[in-house]
Amino acid sequence: MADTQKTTRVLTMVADFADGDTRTLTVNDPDTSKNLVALVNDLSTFCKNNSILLGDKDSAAFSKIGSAKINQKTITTFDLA
Amino acid sequence: MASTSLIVKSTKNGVSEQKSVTYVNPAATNANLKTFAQKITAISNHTYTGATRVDKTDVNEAGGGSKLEPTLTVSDGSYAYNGDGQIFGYVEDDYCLKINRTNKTFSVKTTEGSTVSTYTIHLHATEGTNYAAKSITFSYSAS
Repeated sequence: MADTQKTTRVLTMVADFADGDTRTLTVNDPDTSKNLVALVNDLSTFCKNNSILLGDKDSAAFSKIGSAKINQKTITTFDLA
Repeated sequence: MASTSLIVKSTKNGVSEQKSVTYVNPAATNANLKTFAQKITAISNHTYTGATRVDKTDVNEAGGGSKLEPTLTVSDGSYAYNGDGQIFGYVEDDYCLKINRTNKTFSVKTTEGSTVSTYTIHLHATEGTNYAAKSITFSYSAS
């Protein structure tokens, strides 16, 4: 069996809260054919306007999604034969 | 601190996936949580199939946890009031309801014979009078 490689992509968004704390939202397999900036900003606005997310420690209010990036990772499975 | 988690479900190529978001506002409405789940799924290549809400309580929080709220119903029957503050059920020779007239407290025995709790009430009765009990319901909370 030959070596195999699998590539996955993860979009990581950092949610900022009023107490300075941050939490991470991840989405597997982001669709790069879409306007991701617009979708992330839309998600951020919706979460803020409707108080969807709360700070983990003291229920601090959600401020915004401060940053978002796509990471790609490759997993190589080596044939040991 | 009570909190809510949201499990967002989606499919891709026939494979179902779940994602958990743990810092969700417990006051968020289900409709808004559904919209949030749909929006976050829309960022991916997946198809949204549903979302489940999980409400959680911190077990370390003082005052949290479940409360004991038993209800005792004394069914219709005749009881003799002997002046010492005890009412005897006519079937058993042990008290089911013990009343301390001075302190105006009463104790209730379960069928197992152990005292359940004390609670302060005001009772008016004449010593030696057969007290025809109607259905009496006592409710109390013990944390």
